[in-house]
Amino acid sequence: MMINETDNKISFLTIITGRNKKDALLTALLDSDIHLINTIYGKGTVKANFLRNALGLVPEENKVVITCISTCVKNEIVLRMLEEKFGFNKPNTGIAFTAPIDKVSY
Amino acid sequence: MENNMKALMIVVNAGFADDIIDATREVGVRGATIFNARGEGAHHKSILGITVDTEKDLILCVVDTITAEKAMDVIKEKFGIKTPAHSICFTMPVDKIVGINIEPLIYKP
Repeated sequence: MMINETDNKISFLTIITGRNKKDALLTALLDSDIHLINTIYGKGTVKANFLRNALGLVPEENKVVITCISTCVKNEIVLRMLEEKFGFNKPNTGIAFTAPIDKVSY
Repeated sequence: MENNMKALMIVVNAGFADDIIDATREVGVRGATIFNARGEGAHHKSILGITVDTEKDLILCVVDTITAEKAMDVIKEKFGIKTPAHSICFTMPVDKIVGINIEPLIYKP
């Protein structure tokens, strides 16, 4: 099956935030009827205190990258939800963005 | 939420991510997320059946168009395909974005 751009515009949503928010975010995404969700662990680039780093007290992969493919309309609802429910409009909470996708085949 | 931002993705040999982050900070990249990956190319290197030298780092950052171009120039110059870092980078257009302050920041060491 192929969805064309003209049928219903789709986009690739990427959410980057702390790992502690992963479960709540996945639940919220599923509640918003978003599917095709992938989760990747990553690390941020903020340098931690030298001593904590040397002692191994800094978690290696403290960020989670959640990606999903959905319609632009749904993704916009999710972005609004991220601002309202997860406080993404405040600094150091997380970022989310959508990138356009031409076609999806499944 | 409308903007002229780009998602900059850098694929580099493992171990060079921190050097790339330091270099891109100097041209205004504020932060990035690094994740580990395994590369797979046309030339498959293996010793005694064990695949070698495929560990990669992926660096994802969201920056404005001008900063993205500057960052790509720096990466090409210092960590390009002919260097040991062997990095490749590309940008993707960003439609909508939340959670980022889009004013560019110039890094001062």
